[in-house]
Amino acid sequence: MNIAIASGKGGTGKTTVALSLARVRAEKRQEKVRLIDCDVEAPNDHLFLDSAEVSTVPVTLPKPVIDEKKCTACGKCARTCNYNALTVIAKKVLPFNELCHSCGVCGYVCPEKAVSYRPVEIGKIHSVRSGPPFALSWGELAIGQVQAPDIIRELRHGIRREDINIFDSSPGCGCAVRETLAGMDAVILVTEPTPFGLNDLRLAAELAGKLGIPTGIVINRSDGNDKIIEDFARESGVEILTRIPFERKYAETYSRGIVLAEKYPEIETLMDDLYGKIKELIERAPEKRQSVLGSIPESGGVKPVPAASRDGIKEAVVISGKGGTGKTTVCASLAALRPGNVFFDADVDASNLPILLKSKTLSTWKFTSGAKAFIDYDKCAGCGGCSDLCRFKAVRRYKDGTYQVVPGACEGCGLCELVCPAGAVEMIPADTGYTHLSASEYGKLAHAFLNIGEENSGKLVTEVKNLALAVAAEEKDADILGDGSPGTGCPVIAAMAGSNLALAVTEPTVSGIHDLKRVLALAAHFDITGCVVINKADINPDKAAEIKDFCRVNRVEVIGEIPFDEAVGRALREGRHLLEISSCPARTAVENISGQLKLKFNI
Amino acid sequence: MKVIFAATGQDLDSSLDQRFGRCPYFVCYDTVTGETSCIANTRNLDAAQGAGVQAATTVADAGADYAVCGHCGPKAFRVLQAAGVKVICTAGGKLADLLKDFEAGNLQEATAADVEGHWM
Repeated sequence: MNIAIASGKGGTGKTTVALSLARVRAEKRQEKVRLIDCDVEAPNDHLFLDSAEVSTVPVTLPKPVIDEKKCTACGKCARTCNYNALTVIAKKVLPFNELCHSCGVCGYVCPEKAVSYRPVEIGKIHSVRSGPPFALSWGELAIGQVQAPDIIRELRHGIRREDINIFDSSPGCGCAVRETLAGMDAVILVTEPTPFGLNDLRLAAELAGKLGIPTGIVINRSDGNDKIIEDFARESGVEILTRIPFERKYAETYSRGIVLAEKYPEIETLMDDLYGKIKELIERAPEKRQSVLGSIPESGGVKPVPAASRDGIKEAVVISGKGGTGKTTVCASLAALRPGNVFFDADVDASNLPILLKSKTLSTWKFTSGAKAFIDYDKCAGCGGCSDLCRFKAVRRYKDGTYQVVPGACEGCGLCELVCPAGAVEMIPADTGYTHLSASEYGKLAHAFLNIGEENSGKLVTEVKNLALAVAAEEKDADILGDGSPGTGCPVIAAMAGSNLALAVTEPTVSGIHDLKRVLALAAHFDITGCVVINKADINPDKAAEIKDFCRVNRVEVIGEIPFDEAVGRALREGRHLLEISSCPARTAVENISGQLKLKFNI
Repeated sequence: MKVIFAATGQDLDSSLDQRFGRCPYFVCYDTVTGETSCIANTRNLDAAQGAGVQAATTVADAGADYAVCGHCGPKAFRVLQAAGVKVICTAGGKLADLLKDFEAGNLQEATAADVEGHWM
């Protein structure tokens, strides 16, 4: 049985559920369990377990080698490569393996047959044989490599269907998650009963629905009032399987790196209940679900273009390194204290700032990136050459003998277009999302929507920022405040580029500190001043002290600490930010932080 | 000798862009003739990936002897090195001021990429 644990974004408790479920099935119920951590960019399931014997195997893909004796430096390979993975410099072809998608186009177009391929390691698969009561494997994408789906595909290799296989998915709804969900018997979406939780859940449910996988919901941090998720469940037909209560002790236990089911018998009971429901879900005949997302109307109109210089416009971006630290809550509250400025939401995977600021869309523009293959049904002669050569298995033969491109699987290399003798393949620009300009009570807001299953390269984030810059230049005396993207990858770099200040919101947990260090290093590389806010600072005073020590040594200012406050949870459930609730310790802390920003950074 | 800056604008009044691959313009300055020209980096701004490699190729093909930027990643550095272009990584500022520093010999040549690709 293959079960995926997923969520629209990080920080919802995916890892908690995956680890607890695996532990209860294996240790208490004596079943054969394998936990597979598919978050190959930041695997952390193994951090919670004592892993004794670890065996590691490399994952390789074919990458080009140029025979210099045959190569005439004609440059055809470099011009045809859609990934910019080759260039001709000083009459020599230089290949870049990190950019290469192993599509084989360069070898196909080389007139001198100077390109051959050799296997190159793009990552590793680690497996634990003894230690935890269940088998554990995780993938690790080598730094700088881009082919996460290939590692995930390899992780599925040799899995026995008769065991209980729990796949801990990476966050989001991108191509890595799509690859994880392929071949699952059920997918469990972990969410929180807040408007953001709902937004992210809707996106993840859409992806699972598109793939036709039986889907259920686990509500984490439930306080008994989960109406927002219950309404969604009723409308969409996606069942709520179980609820994990909102308790401070769970947050504290997690912050120490302990699996909840190890410590709390009530979690064990919940996991038994969940497992029973998952089995029922799989046994029931799957129903065809309707799309849970409405269509997005394009408004057209002229999109504002930013000026070449920033002309005194100041910009601060709120970042976190990992999802779920309270970045958006802090950002929205700071926005409410800065009316008349321009705001942006760089989290294009699951844009939540517009929800919290209750903005209304003014304009929408389509966003295209790269190209995807399209096969003309009338021209296709059915030779199958494209299907045989496509490394992404993106061309499928249908019963009537014609070939069509599998939506979402095409990576746009263009080999099919080159090999087709009938000229039936065309590469067409791919619509990958939308940018929006909205109006809120506090000012204009630029944000975006990335289509389900698309990979975010940071390009859409740059679009959002450019829109905010253009609007800020039009308004009088407006500065910019942005909600950054989660993580430390390309989208965050795009979100921070050119900013004056990066405000990192962190929490005193093992993973919180780990990610904070990475994201501050990133800001330092960009010569962007960093400062830190510790959210839920009192749930683990030792870790909070560790953060403060780290910041002191690295001369990064900690400009505020927000205490764990149940009023925050209540406000978020109602879709309100901290300035919309009556005075509470967290609100006072954010007001102080805002004052510090003005005082110390004039932002 | 030709010096090419990764720039936010089109002339020496604009500032140095901290990014190399995804800067909007390259401003070229010829130290012999004193002429300034500009190359738009539009195609690379739009590239989904590999902007550093292509930007470095653009700079090399334009005949640069020196490339001045905020930071340079390993892939772009490899291309520039192969083309014999010397790389200077420096703090931000107006290009005209940086040019003065360059001509006074105050800017130091980088011997390796100063950041990881994608700034990781």
